[in-house]
Amino acid sequence: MNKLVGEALVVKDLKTQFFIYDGVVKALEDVSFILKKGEVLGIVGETGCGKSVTAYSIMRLIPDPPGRIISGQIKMGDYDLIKGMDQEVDIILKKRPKIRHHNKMIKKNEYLYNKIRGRYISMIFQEPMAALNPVFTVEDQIVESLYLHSKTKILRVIKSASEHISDLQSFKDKGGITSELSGEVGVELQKIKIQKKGFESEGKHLEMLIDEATKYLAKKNKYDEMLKESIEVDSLEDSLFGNIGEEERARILKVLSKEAKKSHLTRLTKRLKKRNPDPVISEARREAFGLLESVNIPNAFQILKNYPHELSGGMLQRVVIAIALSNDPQILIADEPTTALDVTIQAQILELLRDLRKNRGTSIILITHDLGVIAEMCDRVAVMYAGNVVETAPAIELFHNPKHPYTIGLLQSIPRIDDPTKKLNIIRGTVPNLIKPPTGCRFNPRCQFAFDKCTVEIPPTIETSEGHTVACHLFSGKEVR
Amino acid sequence: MSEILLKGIGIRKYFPIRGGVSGRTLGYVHAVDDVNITIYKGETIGVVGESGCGKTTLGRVVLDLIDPTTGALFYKPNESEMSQLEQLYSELTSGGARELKKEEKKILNTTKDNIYKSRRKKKDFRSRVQIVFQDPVSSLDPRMLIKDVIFEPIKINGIPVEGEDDNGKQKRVRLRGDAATKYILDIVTEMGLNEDHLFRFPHEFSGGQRQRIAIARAIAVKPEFIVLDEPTSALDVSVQAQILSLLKNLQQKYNVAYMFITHNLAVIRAVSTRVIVMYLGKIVEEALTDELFEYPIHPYTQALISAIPVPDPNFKRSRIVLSGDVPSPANPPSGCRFHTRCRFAKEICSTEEPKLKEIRTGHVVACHFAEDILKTESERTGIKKISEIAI
Amino acid sequence: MTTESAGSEFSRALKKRLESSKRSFYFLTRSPLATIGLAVVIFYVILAIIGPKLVGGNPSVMTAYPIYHGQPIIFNPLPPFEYAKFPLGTTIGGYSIYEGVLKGARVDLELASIIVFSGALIGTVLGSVAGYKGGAIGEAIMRGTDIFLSLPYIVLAVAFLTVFGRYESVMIESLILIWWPTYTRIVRGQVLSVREQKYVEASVAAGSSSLRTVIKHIIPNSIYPIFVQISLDFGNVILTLASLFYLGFTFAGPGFAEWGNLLSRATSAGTGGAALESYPWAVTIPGLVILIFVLALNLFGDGLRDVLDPRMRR
Ligand SMILES: Nc1ncnc2c1ncn2[C@@H]1O[C@H](COP(=O)(O)OP(=O)(O)OP(=O)(O)O)[C@@H](O)[C@H]1O
Ligand SMILES: Nc1ncnc2c1ncn2[C@@H]1O[C@H](COP(=O)(O)OP(=O)(O)OP(=O)(O)O)[C@@H](O)[C@H]1O
Ligand code: SF4
Ligand SMILES: [Mg+2]
Ligand SMILES: [Mg+2]
Repeated sequence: MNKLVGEALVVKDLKTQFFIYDGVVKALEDVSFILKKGEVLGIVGETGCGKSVTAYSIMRLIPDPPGRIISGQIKMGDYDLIKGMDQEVDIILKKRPKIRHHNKMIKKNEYLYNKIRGRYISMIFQEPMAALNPVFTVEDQIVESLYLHSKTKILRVIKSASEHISDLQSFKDKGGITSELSGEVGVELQKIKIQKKGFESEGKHLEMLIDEATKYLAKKNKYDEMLKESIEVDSLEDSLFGNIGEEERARILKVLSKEAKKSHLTRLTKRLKKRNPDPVISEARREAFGLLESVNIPNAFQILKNYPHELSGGMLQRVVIAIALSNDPQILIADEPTTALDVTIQAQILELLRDLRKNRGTSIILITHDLGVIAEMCDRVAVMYAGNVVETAPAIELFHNPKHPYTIGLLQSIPRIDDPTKKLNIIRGTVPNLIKPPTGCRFNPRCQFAFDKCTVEIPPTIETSEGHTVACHLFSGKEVR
Repeated sequence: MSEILLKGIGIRKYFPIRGGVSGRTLGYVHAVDDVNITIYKGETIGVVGESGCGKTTLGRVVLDLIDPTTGALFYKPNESEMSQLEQLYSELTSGGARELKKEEKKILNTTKDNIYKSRRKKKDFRSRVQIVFQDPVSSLDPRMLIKDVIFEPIKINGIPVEGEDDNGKQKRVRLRGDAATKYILDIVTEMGLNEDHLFRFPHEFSGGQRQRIAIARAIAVKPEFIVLDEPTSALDVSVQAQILSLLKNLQQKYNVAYMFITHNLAVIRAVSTRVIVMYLGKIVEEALTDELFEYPIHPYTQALISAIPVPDPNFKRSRIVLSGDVPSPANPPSGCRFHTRCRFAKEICSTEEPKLKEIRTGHVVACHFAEDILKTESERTGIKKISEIAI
Repeated sequence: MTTESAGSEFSRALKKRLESSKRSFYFLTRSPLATIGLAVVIFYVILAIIGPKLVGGNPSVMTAYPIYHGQPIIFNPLPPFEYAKFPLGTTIGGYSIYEGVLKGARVDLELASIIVFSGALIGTVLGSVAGYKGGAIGEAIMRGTDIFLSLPYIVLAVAFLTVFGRYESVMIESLILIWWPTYTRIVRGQVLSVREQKYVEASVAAGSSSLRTVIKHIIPNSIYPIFVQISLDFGNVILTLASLFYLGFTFAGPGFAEWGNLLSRATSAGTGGAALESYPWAVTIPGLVILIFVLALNLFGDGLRDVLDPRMRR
């Protein structure tokens, strides 16, 4: 699935609203954009323009009440996440019709969506502390995520390690990895090598791998059974995104939600059996160690044992990124990952995200209000204003040939470190109240080019050149929507 | 340069860290450690540095909102007295930075005219300076109408009129009733708000509007000096631009001096005339703005400048990514505080603390290798040089 | 702004405040239990205002009817709903329960108001000082608070009444003495957090004196949680008063219209157990009156807490 062509995610006509005391907040109004495979898409816009709501809608994390996705599509492959979830809710309701009116209960029962969230799409939040559970160590939290979503991979590595156990032993005795190994374990060791860690860390990994391989050999049958099951589940999940009929999809959903529930239960019981830990868990520990190293955390073994509050902001954000990466998601949504951090730490984190895209080919949605970060990181940019996507373009095109008056104003209002004489241009006024948004183009009260049509008619989205779309009456051309 | 408005000498602020059941003092956070600062009339002095480096604390000490551990602050000092003091001070600290002895502290603290020590001066000083905070949400009392928020400083201090009284104090009049309402209305209109806004509560405003209110409140008493503690950090760029230009206009009109605290170097570049770079409670570099950006010398300043994302995808440059986190100010590294993250660090850096030296005219740097770096490196990292390389 | 518009300043400010209380009221009414609580509390307050007028006579003393229609009812209470003159029956001593309940509402609410509001006032002042000034004074205040909080309050009140004599003033003062520490603690906690708010520093920077800062900024912003406590404490004070009167620590005669006193009439002649069997209404009716009021106050207090807690506002 990881080929670098085509679309990783298609969001179409997404409409999300919040129903509160003062009225209905029309937070998203027909938001559409495409995330291509392997690219970094920037979403930029001012406070309250709906960037986070977009991210939450994709993750289906909109608090309900008061929020609700009214309509729209969020498609991965041929699978519509919104419809898929509604299908699952139907399945749950069929089994337990009484919980119809309890949103929270339904949410708790959404096993499948919880699985998809971790395995296919991950999210990094602005506040790293909020994404971590304060009562568990960093290790526990990474292991939990791995156990939930990466069982197959972990079991494969153990199996492969057991096949090469004698080689591993000799590497360890000789001190370091000298030649290439085949199989999953080879890939795993290669990864460690790429990260250019000293021998100490390699030795630690080897030691742990050998440990698990021995355990595996002792209980070979049981492990193989687990692996088989887990591969089945994975392939079922993957097939959801393919081009299959509605009925077939519903059937798969049913099987999966049963499966997901089972694994939820086993996980609970495993937790209780501390004395005889699940082998997958101990391999997950090793993996967690590797993950922290891969996000450049020095002294990773120590950090694993820490609780979130014991870490600094930059460190925490790296831990959160490690968790988000733990299952090699195809899509990573980063909602202002560096806003709470210092510039020098921000530079470190951005470097990390850049490497990530290069090494793993993850598609990233980077949400920020810093156009500088966008310029450094993104291939394509979507500019949002008051719940609308007003312009999308390749990054270079956007910065050198902005079309929408809002984008132009935004670009002119940033002080430039490289050009102190630049006169700051001001967009007058403020972001409108989304309970009573302006009619027509939502930007019209602040727009210096607005004319009568702008206040009455919603501008269509127009493609002005290849890959450059803009929603403004000043432009004419092929309508995309 | 123009007249000196404010001069702080040897300012230190150590916050005790208390712990345990008994609340014993376990150590000190060295929030501001031995800083000299001069503020000239009508200028904008920028203070940059990472979170926790003591920017806010410095601002609060300079406004006498908190008592410093040591140090003296003078308002419009008289030149001859000043040079004498500086002499004394440099003698006191000549043995490298250290904790002052009791008698030495005494000398510094009891100097005549030190604002920290003179009640009478304090009160007058208060009415001449103001502060605007970063967080527009918590800096306005949520239970007060905007008109009361803006009126508060006027009610306490009155507004200045021409001339000074016998004690060198400003003459001030108190406004009441209609005169007051009219005065407030004028100020508010100047800020781009209107009469209706006066009868609302702070929570009914957006961040930018609240920041305007905070500025209106500060400017209302016609101060000579305002500390702006990250006034735009919580705002959107479009609103930031509005606030920055508002501040600029006010400065021209009232000839007020700003101390502009921020961690955004681009903003500093746009607004300030002089810049102070702080790291862990110390000033590491100080220069006029253009000088600093063209010849950044301290390795930390260089890293800071290169870490700022520039909104132009074609802008290429050598990136200096600092490794590691900012160390805790409770336990600052020995020697040069930056040596744990510095690319140039050598043995001497971890043992000996570098003093501020003038490297180019008006450009002071605290680094053992400042001269070498100036020769070899600033060519590469100066912002003008970079943008010339840009495609 | 001209003079006319300045004249309307007050009304505009008032309108603003009304709007925000309307909003609070809306949130309160979203909880049915709190609404019921509020309704019941209002009903009791109305009773306290007009009740004594309805029955006439001395508003704080019940009239004794030892003999009714030639029958001595002093030790044979009449049941409720049988005689128009005694709609809720009578109790030992020939007191009308109806009259006792109505007059008691006034007496109890009055006493409770004095005690709770004085306690709240003292607590607020001490709490603000302890929170804002801190240091040795704050420490001393808080240790004092701890001592008072650790004393069993009925015992303390009984001790006071025994030592200083049974006077109304002693009872009120001893209860005030018991009630301030809770407020001190709440207010201090609030002040500690409000003190760190930027607007407090901004006001200091504007030259405001400590006293002015405390009065203008800190107290108005720390006071809301004590309204919740006041509403809950009203119930507690009334219960305590009733207990004291029931236990016989009174400062007035047997006819004093206080709910606890009324309740104690039924069991006063050494007929504790027998009272419930032979004239249950004399125990249950005053008991219920107290129970409903305290319950309503608690429901209302919980609702109020939710309204004042912004996190609950959705
Ligand atoms: N839980 C909620 N209840 C009511 N309204 C909400 C809620 N969450 C978001 N909104 C509204 O939706 C709109 C978009 O909010 P969103 O958080 O997406 O903005 P954003 O672009 O992420 O801004 P920021 O840069 O501040 O993070 C806002 O007007 C906001 O008030
Ligand atoms: N009242 C206080 N009590 C104890 N420590 C304090 C206090 N105020 C500040 N500090 C500490 O002093 C150091 C400097 O704080 P300061 O707020 O001046 O930093 P800053 O440069 O303004 O940072 P930021 O950019 O995050 O605002 C920090 O480590 C902080 O924890
Ligand atoms: S549609 Fe009209 S109002 Fe909107 S941005 Fe274009 S010109 Fe401005
Ligand atoms: Mg957001
Ligand atoms: Mg600060």
